[in-house]
Amino acid sequence: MGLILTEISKTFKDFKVQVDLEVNDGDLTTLLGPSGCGKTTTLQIISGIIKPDSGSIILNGNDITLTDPWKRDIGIVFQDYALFPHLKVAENISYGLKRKGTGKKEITEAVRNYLKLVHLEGYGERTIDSLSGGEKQRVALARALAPKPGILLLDEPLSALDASLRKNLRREIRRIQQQLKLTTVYVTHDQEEALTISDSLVIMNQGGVEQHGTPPDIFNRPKTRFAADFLGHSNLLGGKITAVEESSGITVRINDKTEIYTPYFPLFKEGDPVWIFFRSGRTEICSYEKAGGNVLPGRLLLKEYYGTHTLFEVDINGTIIKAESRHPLSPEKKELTPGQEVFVSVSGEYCYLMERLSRI
Amino acid sequence: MKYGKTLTNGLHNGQTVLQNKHFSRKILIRFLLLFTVLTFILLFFYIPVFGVLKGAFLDKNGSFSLSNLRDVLTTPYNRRVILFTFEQAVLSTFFAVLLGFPGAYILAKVNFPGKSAVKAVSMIPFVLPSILVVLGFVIFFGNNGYLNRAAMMILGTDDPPFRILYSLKAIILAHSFYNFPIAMRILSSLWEKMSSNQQNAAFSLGANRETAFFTVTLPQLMPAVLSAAGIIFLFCFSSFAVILVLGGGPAYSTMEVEIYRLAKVSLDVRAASSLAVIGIFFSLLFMYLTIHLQKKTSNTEDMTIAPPQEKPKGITRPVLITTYVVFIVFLVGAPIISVIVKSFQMPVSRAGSEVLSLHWYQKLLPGSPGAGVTAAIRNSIIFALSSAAIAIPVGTILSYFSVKNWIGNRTVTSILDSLLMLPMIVSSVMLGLGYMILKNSFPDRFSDSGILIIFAHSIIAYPFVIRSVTGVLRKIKPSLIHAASSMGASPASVFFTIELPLIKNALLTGAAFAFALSMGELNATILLAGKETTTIPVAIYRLIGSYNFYGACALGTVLIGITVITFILLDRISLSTGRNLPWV
Repeated sequence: MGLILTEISKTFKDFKVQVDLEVNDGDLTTLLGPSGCGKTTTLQIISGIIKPDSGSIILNGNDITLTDPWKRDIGIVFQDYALFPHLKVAENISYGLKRKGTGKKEITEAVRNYLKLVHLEGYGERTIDSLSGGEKQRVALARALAPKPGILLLDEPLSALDASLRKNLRREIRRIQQQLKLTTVYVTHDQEEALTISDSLVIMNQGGVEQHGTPPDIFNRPKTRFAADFLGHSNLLGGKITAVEESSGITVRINDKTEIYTPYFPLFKEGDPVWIFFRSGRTEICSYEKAGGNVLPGRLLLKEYYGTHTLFEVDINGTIIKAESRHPLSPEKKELTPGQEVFVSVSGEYCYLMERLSRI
Repeated sequence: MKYGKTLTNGLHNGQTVLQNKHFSRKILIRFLLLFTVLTFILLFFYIPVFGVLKGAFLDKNGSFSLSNLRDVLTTPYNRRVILFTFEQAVLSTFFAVLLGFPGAYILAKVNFPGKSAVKAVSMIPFVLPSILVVLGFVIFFGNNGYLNRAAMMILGTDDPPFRILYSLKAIILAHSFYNFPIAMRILSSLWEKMSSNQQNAAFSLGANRETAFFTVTLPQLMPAVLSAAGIIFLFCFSSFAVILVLGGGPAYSTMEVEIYRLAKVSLDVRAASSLAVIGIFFSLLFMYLTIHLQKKTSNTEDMTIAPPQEKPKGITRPVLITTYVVFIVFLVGAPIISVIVKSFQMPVSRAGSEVLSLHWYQKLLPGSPGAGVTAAIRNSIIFALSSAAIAIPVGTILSYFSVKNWIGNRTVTSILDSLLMLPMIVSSVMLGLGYMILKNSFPDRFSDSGILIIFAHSIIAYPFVIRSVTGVLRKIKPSLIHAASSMGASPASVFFTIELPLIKNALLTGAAFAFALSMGELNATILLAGKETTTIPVAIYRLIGSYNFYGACALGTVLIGITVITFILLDRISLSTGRNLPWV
């Protein structure tokens, strides 16, 4: 059960989408990527707005590749709400039920229940004009849920709302989704939203899937440079493996002077070009060379105050390494000024290796 | 093969067939609708126009020749007519735009009690038949009109002080009055989008009110000025009733009137066609120039801020505004009210003293000597309803064709779009001429039945339906359709539950316009109407021609009544949707 996209492909004039995807029954899967990466196109292929050139879509055991959009048993929440302006709130919510031929009594009952589910009791007779943005999106959600669809698709549902509202509504969408155990595909370009709401996460780029996994999986062990970069605050250092020991770990040479030690990862062997990946939050900065760990000398370029932490950017032989230090800062860190020589260090246990295929 | 992967699986074959069935049904329906509509337009617009072209470019022997055009252009009288057509159109446009400017400012920037009245009054000329304007002008501004009679009473003379009728002055006055609301509407809709901060910035940089207006405001209004001037010029260039009656003869004749005279009086179809072709050439040229100039002057940057509305301050401005409003209401209202008043009067002596009477209305009743007029009222209503009934589906189908890109090719669609809007540019006298030429190729019962008049009116009206519907249809977000579809609504169901309710008001506006246009149409109708198919405007024209002004006013009042009902309907719709009229 759930949703399976197999070898879906769709070619546009200057853009091609190729997707293989599996969404487990009852899971919330998020498609995350920059604009133009194909995530919305994928959603439109699932909903039938766009027909794929090839491949198949199986929803809850039925092949719906060629099914008309109005026979697919899908609920959609749009970024622009897409509420019908000529219908009242209750009429919007009952729209899908009416198409199914549901009885009057059941419809009234359903409208009441779904209004309650999205905390809009008593809003049935309101006009769409009279609703705020957040209320509109709640109505849109209730409308999509009321016909009890086999899958819920959300296309950047929160991006038209302001920040505090976004967080609340995000939590509510998650609560309702878990309560109804509804298979859901969620599209967003906001990484925080994606990390907090999802059972599984699909990173998309240039029409294809970069990586699919749980949020911690992708956050800590990105498979590609793009996946690492997109989730932000990451450091990447290119190097070549000089030694592999199952017991003590892997040694990577960065340049003539410096080597970095990481834990053992299977499949890597001596001589492989690799990326060393570590989060800026795990990176330390210091004005003198500390003993032990992986220490890299460089020049401090930038120091930015962020409230909860300070961000340092250090130039190490042309590569920028970011280090985040949580407040309060030690007196020694407070005195650091851009231009001076510094040392950054990262403990080997926080380093993760990725294949370096190209020279980017 | 497109669905190569799934087709190999037996299970999906059935679905593929279903999909194709649905797909081809949709294509078939669209094809049939489009085919019907295009055939209609081809038969009743392009073929008549082609008939006129043939009349212009074929000589007596039936071979291609420019001699007809040369003959027309070398006649000094015709040359004078062409020149006068330009002269009156340029002057009328200038005064109409000038008269519209203060109104545009008031509508865009000032809040005052009675503003909605000004807005409403400004809509009257849009739905007012031109023959009523003419009648109102004769009754009010004529030598024996109410204005002169009042002036003579005040001045105590026997000589009418305002000798306006049957001159260039009358034509320009009528055209300005008839067209200034167009300038007012177009200018104000751009003006209200302009932030007053730009003007404030100019003030802070040392510009006074006048300098700021001429250096900041006016340059930005130029696209609207040009667009208004372009439309008004075209209207005045092809104006018919105003010239025919208020021009009063060969001295003040224009191309349209001359086409009518040549076709109907001299029965010289070749000369009429040649003049019509010259007319359409100029019309297209101006249209092109207007659009070209508009693009050149257009800069819509930073125009989205809704400006704060000013309350009139000080003494001078309220006085000026009030004067203007009173003047406008007087200019629009006085001639119309004169028609109504006159219709209830009857002369009792040669000297011109009058008593209240329903005499002229009794004459309209069936069985009385003037009963032909009853038939005219019936004809007009039947023609107007039928024209609206044809124009609405034709316009709606063409809107869908254009907005939904039915044929899947934007270039072809936009070329067809412009070809389909051509009836807005081709003058209705020319259309009538085309029908006249073709009339003989139809069976008599068909051509005498009035159906040609209905078709002509539908052709004139459908572009306005397209304008009205297209704007709304474009605004329907695709996500609305997708949302309905995802909840189980088939395309037919989407049309009836989502699209139709959303375009309902646009359809009503279009219908009201089509009805009003047909109700007031004189130019084509006068060339086509026979004994049995006279309409109200034609009947009014004939009554004016036989100096029966009282009868004309009674029939005019009936037309005013019908127009007012249409107008109220339109006003209600535009109030409830806040939309502009289809041609502004």
